[in-house]
Amino acid sequence: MSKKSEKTMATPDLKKRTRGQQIWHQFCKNKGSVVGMAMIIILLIVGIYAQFAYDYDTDIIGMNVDSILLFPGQDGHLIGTDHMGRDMLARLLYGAKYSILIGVLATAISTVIGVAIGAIAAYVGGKVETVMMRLVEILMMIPTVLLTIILVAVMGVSLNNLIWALSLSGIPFMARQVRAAVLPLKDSEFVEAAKALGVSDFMILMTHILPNSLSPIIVQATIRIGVTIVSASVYSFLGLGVPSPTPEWGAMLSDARVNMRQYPFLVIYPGLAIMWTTMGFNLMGDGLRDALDPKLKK
Amino acid sequence: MWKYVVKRILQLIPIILLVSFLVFWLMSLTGDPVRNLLGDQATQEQIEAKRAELGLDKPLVVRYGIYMFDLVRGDMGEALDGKSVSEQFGQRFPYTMLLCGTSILLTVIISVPAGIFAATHKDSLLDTGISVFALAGISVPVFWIGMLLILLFGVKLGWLPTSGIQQGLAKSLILPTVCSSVQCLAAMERMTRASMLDNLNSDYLRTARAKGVKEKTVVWKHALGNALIPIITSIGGQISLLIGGAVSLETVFSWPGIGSYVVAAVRSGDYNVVTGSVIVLTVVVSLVTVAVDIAYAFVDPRIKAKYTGK
Repeated sequence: MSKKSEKTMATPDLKKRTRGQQIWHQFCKNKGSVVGMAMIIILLIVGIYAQFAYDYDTDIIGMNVDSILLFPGQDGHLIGTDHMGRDMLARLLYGAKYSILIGVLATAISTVIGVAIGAIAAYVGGKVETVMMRLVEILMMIPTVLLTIILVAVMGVSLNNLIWALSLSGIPFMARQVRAAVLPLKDSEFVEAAKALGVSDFMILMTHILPNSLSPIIVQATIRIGVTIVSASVYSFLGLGVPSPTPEWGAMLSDARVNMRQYPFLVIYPGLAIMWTTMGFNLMGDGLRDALDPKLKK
Repeated sequence: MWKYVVKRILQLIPIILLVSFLVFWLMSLTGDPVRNLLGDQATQEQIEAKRAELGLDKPLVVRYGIYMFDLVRGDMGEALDGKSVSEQFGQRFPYTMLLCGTSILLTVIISVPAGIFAATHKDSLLDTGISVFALAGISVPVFWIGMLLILLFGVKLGWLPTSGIQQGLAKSLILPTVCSSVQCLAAMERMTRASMLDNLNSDYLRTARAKGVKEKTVVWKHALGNALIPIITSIGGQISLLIGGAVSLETVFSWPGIGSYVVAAVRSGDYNVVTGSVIVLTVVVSLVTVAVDIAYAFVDPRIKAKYTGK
């Protein structure tokens, strides 16, 4: 311990590290998180590449009678073709866009609304908190999958509606997390000082409390992206999410059901793609938690 | 102590009423069932008449009251095909509960020993292995695991039935159960590991070890005894997850439970089925949660003391 502090004293550049650099350093120390980040970056690169390399109307949703259900490796189709003769690899890479879009957007929306609810409930306290958190608890009583299914039933089946349904059903969870993060800050000395100086409640929330509770929120949101991508694939698989010709991975698995017994590769690769993406976000979230929120470290 | 039990159960009533009203209200937004029933050619008078016949001209709260009154007496209305929803629900409900029950059992049998092993062999190769496996388990949709199991054990090896319950209930139960427990395994294993580690590093166990108590007794008697309390509570939390998972799994395995029933109903716009099933399932989940909380209070002396005032 004393040796370490001496070393820090002796090398002043170490002390000059900004908070950002510290976090980056911590993040990189965790092998898992670096692997996770690399997985996401690779996915983003191939996903963007696919947008330019393939034509949506001909390569992705068009029918190709000559190449229906080819096995991997046949005719230059690396992982085979589906029941419409479309190259599976092209569809998988192109489909990365949807999973990432749904995961990130739905999480962002539920985080923003969850932060508003959780922060106001924790900061204001009293009856407002009781009522708000009771409502959140009531929403949590309905199993998430059933809540999302109801929302989809109300709004109808489409990509946009799936994003909204996932966002809304994610709010209770985020609101509870945010409230837990804000509660200990509410009575801290710097908030008291700001109050004494006459800073308005809104400004205290925005400039003092939220920036200080940002770390756990970012960590939860990153892990939440993975969870959301998995559940999005469930709804598409059930025919309640992204409709079929769109190369969303869950929808591809739904299409694959008919032919899966003879052509197992139709099932294997879209699932692996989901696993790759979700694992990437989960690993990154674990690393971020260790870097941003040392208290949570096991 | 009974005061606590009664209080918890009474607290449940307003929550159930609010949840069911929320579901009822949301489902009433899905559109006008009369227009769907009569088609576009119906005149305004016909629509009004049908609406009055079905009681849809009354305000939402009144309709909700009537619906709940019927529901409590076991009448969940009619499905689009004219069959009684309660009857269908009653036939399918035991299958979903059976699947949830066997899944919880399998989860506990695997994850608790795995968690104990991971905690006592912290940072060993197997601990890391279990963690990686747990991470993989929560990173894939459970229906996909179901499809892979069907391909391996149903198609390739031909050992197990993959669809429905025609080939014997016990045999048909195996694949859905394995699949369904995968989603809880990771969480339960992590929970057991963390809870065991907390106890293994505690002061009272250091004292026990210093007194010369065998490590075996320390782990299996002292640590596990206390670590089990949070583990048991978390089982209650898994039921909501399992019922959610059942929705996609029952579709994959053509399991004749509530999950596949609800999915089919949403697809065909059969909203009587959806409303009733969601309300009853939510009530079941909250009852289980409260039951586990009460059981917890009986086991944990700290909560007991709070309510008996000793």
